[in-house]
Amino acid sequence: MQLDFLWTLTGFILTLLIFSYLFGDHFLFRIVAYLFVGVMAGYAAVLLIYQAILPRLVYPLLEGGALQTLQAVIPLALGALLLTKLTPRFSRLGNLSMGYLVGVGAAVLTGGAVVGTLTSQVQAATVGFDLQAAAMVGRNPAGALAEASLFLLGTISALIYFQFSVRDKRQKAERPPLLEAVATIGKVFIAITLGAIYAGVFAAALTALIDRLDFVTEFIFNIVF
Amino acid sequence: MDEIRCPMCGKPNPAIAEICQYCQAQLKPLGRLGDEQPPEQPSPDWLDEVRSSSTLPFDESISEEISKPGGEEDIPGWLARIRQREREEQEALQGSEGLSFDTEAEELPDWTAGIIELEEKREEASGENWLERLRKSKAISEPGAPDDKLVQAAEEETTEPPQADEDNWMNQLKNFQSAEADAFEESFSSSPAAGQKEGGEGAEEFTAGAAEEDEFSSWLRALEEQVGPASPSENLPETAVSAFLGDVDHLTEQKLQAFESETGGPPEGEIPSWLAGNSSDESSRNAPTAPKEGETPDWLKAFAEPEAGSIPPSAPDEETPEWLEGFRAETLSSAEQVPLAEKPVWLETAEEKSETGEPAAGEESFEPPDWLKAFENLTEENVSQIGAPNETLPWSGASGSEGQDSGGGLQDWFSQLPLEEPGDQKEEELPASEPPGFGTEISSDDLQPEVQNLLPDELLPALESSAVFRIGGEEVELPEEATPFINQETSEWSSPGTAALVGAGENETEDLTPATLPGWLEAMRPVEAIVGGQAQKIDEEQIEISGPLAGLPGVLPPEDIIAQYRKPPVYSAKLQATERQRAQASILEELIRTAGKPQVLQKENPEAPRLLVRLGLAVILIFAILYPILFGPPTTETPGLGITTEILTFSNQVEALSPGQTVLLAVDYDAGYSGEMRFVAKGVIQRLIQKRLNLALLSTVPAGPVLAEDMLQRASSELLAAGALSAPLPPERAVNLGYLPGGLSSLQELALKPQQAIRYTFVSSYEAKPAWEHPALQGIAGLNDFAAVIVLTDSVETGRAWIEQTGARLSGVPLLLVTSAQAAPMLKPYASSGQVDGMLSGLMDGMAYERLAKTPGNAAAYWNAYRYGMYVMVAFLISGAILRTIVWLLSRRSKKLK
Repeated sequence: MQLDFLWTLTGFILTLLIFSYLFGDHFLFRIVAYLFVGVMAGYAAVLLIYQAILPRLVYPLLEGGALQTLQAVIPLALGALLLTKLTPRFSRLGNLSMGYLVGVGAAVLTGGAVVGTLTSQVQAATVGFDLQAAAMVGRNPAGALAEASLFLLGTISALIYFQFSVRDKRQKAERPPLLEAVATIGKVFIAITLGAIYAGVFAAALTALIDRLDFVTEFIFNIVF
Repeated sequence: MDEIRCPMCGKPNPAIAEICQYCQAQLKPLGRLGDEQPPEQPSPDWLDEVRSSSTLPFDESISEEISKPGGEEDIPGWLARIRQREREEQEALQGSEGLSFDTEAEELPDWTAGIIELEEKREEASGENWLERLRKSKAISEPGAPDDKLVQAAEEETTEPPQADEDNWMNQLKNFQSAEADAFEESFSSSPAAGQKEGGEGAEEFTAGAAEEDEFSSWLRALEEQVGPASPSENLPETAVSAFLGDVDHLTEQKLQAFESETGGPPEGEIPSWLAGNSSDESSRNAPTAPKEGETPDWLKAFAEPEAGSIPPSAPDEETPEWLEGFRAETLSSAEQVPLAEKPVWLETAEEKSETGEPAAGEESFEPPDWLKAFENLTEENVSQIGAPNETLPWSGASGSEGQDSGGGLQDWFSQLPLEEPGDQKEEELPASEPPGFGTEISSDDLQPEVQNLLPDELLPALESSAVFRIGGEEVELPEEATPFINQETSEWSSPGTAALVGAGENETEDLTPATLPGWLEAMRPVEAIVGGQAQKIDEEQIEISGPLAGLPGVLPPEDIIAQYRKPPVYSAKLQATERQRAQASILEELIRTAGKPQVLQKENPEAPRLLVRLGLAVILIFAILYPILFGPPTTETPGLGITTEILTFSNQVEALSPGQTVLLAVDYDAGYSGEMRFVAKGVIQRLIQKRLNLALLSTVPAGPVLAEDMLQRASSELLAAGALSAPLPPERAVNLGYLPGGLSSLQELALKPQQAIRYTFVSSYEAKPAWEHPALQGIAGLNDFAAVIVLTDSVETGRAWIEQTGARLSGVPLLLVTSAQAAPMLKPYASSGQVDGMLSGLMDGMAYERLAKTPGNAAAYWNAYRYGMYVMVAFLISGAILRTIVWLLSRRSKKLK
């Protein structure tokens, strides 16, 4: 009970110090900000030791079989090479590990993007024109067609808006009038999207503020009452 | 292989060769032949005979006479008689001082003595001394005053410095001018025989001492005076010296004959038999038995060769000028044609002439070598005038005709000169420390007043123009740098005054042929001499015609120098880049510059109290939020809160789960968004707990495991507080798998091999337990074995990664998203496309789900706070937009007014 109170009190003080930013960027606010960064870094280090290094590297080497040991030696070597990045003299040795990480990450990201986003989103853009399916779910086919058309227009116009290249250097860096009109429409869709994102950020921040104010008022009420 | 490399042409020759096969040059220096002769080598028979036949060794007497001038006891009798007569005549001459000129004229003039000394020096250098023999034979043959004086002078030369003789050159000239030709010839009449006689004494005579070195200097300077000015060192004809030496030899022969006729010759015992036979018995031609070739020592070979002009370079090089070196080399080259053991033809001819008693006048039949002919011409034309008693000296200041017209004007002024010391004193008073260069221009002003007074008037103009030497009618102007002599080597006789006198005298000898250098000597000339001549020629050709140096010759042509140099090409350091490249470079530069630079907070404008505005807005917003929480009515109504399709689908998927199934709950949001995510996900977790589903918590962010446990604890606590749950959530129903490192890659691994990706549970102690042994994970081998996968995330990337990496592996397992409001716009398409089976985003969807799932909570209270706060925020946005518009309008109006 006392420990929970202390942690709550700590949270309360730190919350007030964060709110002190209303008076500008001062020493107390920076202390709390650095404290959060430091605590998070320490916690991440401990977490990685217990959640990554020990179970994935040390335990297989000490307790695992031959296969597990072999599988642990490879990441151990790559990890050791990655440490050479700390010194400029031997930093080139760490390029192998960095290459492995970047290559694997790029491959995973690209494959997932193609399969999970590009193909799926293109297919989803055409699904809206399936009026029969829309009718089966009880939607108005005209509305569904209009909605699908609007989605298609927004997708195409947004893609055209991001078309900035020209074929010939002698050509004037301007879109043709038709493409320019479509790009303008795409700009509108992009603006709406950005507005929605901003509203979501605004709503998320407001929700976080509500949570913190509820915490403060609850702590005060618990102390006072 | 032993080879001897020729010193002249540098080509190799066999070791046994004595002359070069290519250039016929002498490979072994003749002067060193005597040196190479071992001292213990037995003397030839003929020499032993000579030595044994003489009571007093003649060579010893001569050598001791030279080395010890005062030694009278070792002098042979005949020489003692000669000296006695000389003393008597000296005493007689001292009584009549005015006649001294005439009596001394009978002596050999010093300039010819200098020539003789030159030859002596050559012989001395080559290990022979035939001119020494000539000189001494003259002293022996002529007991009269002139020859005795010569002997005395020779004795004095051994003790006195050569400077004394050199200073008496004017006296010598004077004496020479007045010398009778017959006396001159008489003084040399007996030289060949005497020379042979003395030459037989061998090398002992060559060790006469270092005093003869001074003689060498004297006669060398005398010869330089005779030959050098008339023909500069480079232009000295090789034939001129040879011809002159032929004359000298011939005259010596005549004088020797006269001496023998007068004195009856030396005593029998004092002269070697072969030499005596040669000198006294003229009729017996076989008397002077010449030594056989094999018996002839090297020094004698060298003695027999000097007439051919072969002079080995035994003299020190540092004391020998270059022109003399060249001359010596030339004579060497000419001597190569004469066998070493043989006498030159002209010498043999001369001997024959002496034997036959032919007079000197009959020497027209004498055929000297070619190199002697040239010099003979010189002597016949110029030097032969010496023999004419009343002729003008060829180097006198006036021309030959003028000298004759003037009746020997030079003799007159010479006769006025004091013959003894006064003239020497005048020259000694000249500044010897700064002697002008050889052949340099001497004006009458440069001479001392005493000398000017002594010189005749007609000689002064010649002195003015004596800067050049006339050789064969061609002016040769010697540059000061071109003189072969250095100041230390030249004596006062070669001083400017002397040069002027000689040069003036040379004006008459216009018929002299121009001196030419042999090809090999031209090749040996220093390059600087050629270059210097060319530079001088260039300077003379170019005369400045404009500018401040107009009229001056020798000005360096600037256009040549300018033409040699060009302005170096200038390479611009400016980068050649297009505008596009410049723009890109500037963008890159800006990015690099601002990348590591912290953002600088702008200072507030004092005119706009932003702090007050910020505080005022904060107070208003906080009040709007807290008022419904603190003072709002407790209600569960959420007016205006609609349930969307995504919320409905999500609820349906959760409701479709069966109790006991395991749901993978991914908590991938940061602590900063825990307040929002807690409002959204708390209802879902409570519903899962209420449905008795097993929960497997997993996170791809470090803070996820902790937040997941906090979320689970809060949901359970609220359920317990609300009475919706009878007991706390048992541990076997929930397992925290902890952190999944690796980001996107870890999700791919999780989709393929969940047991490999997740090995241990997340615990706060060191005792980690195998994750897959937990009861909640029993029967789970892959993602497909989970009842549902619910992702709680606050970012688009994390939500999309779960969709992309695991969506294809789920195959019928519902993938549900609980996201923050800020990620909703970007993740909605995945929900609309069906890739995500349900999605809740933000506080509104969370309250809607709570309302739909009928979970306990105070979402209605937060709903009002959310609404009021949203209203206030919208009011702030609108107020700000209006205020900005007003400011813009006002500023625009003020601009119009201005």
